[in-house]
Amino acid sequence: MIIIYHCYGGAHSSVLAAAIHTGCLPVSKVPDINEIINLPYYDQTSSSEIGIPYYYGKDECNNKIYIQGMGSSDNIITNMLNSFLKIENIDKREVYLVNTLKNVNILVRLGGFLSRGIGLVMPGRPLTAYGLRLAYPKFVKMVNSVKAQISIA
Amino acid sequence: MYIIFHCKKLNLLAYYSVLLYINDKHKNKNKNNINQYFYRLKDMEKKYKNKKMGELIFIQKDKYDNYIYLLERGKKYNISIQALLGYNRIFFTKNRYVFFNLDDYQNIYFKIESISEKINLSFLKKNLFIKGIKKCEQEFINDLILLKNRMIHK
Repeated sequence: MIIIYHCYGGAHSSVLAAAIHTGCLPVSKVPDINEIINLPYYDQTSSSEIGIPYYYGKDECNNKIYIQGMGSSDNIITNMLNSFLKIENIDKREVYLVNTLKNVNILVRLGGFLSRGIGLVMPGRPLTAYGLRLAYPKFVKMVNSVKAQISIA
Repeated sequence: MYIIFHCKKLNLLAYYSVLLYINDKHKNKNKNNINQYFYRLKDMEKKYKNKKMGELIFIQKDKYDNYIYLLERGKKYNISIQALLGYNRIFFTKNRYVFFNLDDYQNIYFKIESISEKINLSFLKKNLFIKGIKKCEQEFINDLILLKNRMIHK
């Protein structure tokens, strides 16, 4: 199965969720800012790369985890994915899309805009990490519910 | 191969370009009679108007066995194309895509034409479409011929 965590730019919240899912980050404690900042792909993707799905790793059940930025076109991209699957005769249940933006707070949005939007990596990057630390329990809960749902499916 | 005609918002130009491409009518462009096409275009518009944005609309196969699709992808051209190519990569489907961007030929006539029904000016639709086509015809037909040649020599 393929699980795609998607957000606006594919640089922060989707990376965090994918990292939790693949076991790069712990579920039992909140990681420190450096652990978050040093994650692969964290705050790296540029706006020209929005739309490209990146492979992040595999989970314990061998599901492939991807991250993707969808900009503000998530509905369009989702429709496109569905029609792509239909054309290629791929079972819809093979893919699980998770929108991570719902867990994002104002600090992450502001930091993301500063760092990726206008190139102010400092203070944008630490601000996003700080915001994600605050929202970390929500992300853990979301990933656990994803895992529960795919094990049922 | 998949040939995808894509634009910000589907309008008569999108259907027209697909019909021209499939029917080889761009070869004798002087004899082209837009009037003759208009009612077919309106039928297509009616048929596809409920399609969701982002949905790949299959039209038919061309004579070189390529699949012809239409795509309404909103303003963000790069995001949709990169996503589609990305899905092709992650599902190992190995399709080859050719994208034909119709936004380059849009003009004010097409813009008014696409909203003409909403503002109760549907009687102007045909004239606006013909004027729009005439304005972009040269470049549009040339690019369509280039695309066709590419398909012949693929």
